[in-house]
Amino acid sequence: MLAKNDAENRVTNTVLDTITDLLQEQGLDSGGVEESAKLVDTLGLKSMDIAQIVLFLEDELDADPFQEIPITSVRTVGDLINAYRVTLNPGLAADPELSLNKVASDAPPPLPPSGGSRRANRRR
Amino acid sequence: MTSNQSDSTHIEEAPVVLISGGSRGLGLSLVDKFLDMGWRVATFSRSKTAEVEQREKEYGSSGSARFVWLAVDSSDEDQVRLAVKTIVKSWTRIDALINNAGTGNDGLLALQRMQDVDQLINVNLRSAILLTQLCSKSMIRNGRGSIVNISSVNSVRGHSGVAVYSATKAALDGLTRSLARELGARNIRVNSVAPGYFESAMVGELSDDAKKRIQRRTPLGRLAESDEIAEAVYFLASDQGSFITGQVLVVDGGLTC
Repeated sequence: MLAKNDAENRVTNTVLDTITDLLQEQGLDSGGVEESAKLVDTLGLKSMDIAQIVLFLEDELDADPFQEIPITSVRTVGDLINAYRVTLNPGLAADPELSLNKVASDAPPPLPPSGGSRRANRRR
Repeated sequence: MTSNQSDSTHIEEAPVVLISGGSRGLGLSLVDKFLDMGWRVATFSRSKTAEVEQREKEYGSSGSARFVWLAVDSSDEDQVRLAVKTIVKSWTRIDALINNAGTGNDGLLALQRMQDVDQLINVNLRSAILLTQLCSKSMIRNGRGSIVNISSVNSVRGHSGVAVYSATKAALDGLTRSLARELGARNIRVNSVAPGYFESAMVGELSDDAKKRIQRRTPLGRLAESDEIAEAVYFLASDQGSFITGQVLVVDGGLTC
């Protein structure tokens, strides 16, 4: 049980550290990195920033949840952490509070591209 | 430090290019150009040629290898993924990608089999998109990179009998422009080179009359050598083209001007 908690803590800390590092690199405020923070609306990340975070996490955690889970289902820091927890420990999928379905069911609107969602919608 | 250690250190600093389809034709000319300029060159194709074996002997010795060839069918997704993973693991990065692998088949669209259409789209477009996705990940991590898609004059001018081929090349140009916008903020440039007719196996299938007709319509009055196309590709892929992105450079002796 302890080992499982250690693994979960490692995922949480790695995700939080990676986001904090990138925000600092971008010169953005890194003080509000907590699980409820929205990646775009709260932290000010752009879609390419999120792609960069996912690539760093792929190296650090040796996992890419987004071959299975749509990246558009990730809105908050907690969503991102859950995606890695579930991928690295599929048993968690049975937990209604922490499952692939939970991640996908929240289904927020797609992340806007760097240029803003309004322009993207007009093009469609 | 021994001279071998010195060589290895020097080689580890050399930029890395991945060229798809580098065993013959334009791909081989690209391999030679980048090797001449001191790059580390990785390439793949379905089968090895005598020319590849020759370059393995010259540049592929262990410890200081500057050339690697992998047996990969570019339409096989798993093989392509493994190839990119192997290169990044061995050489830690990819500085430039040249999407050169391609195929062509002639014929009126009305008479073409859909399986041939699918194959053309798969090799010329889908494989290039996959390779670009995989290599761009390495480039985003490193905060720099350059991608050159080998397009064709058929993407800018219509020619009877090559409708699907033209569609795949025009699609590559669309990929070039949008990806240039997507990746520019990460210091990754994306361009296309659209060659006209050059001495190659594809042109070798043309009749003498057809070749003469092309030469007559070309302001420079001749077909290109594949080395001349490789020069343009190198220009865009290297720092020589450091402020150029999202462009299609037509290298056709003026045929389409």
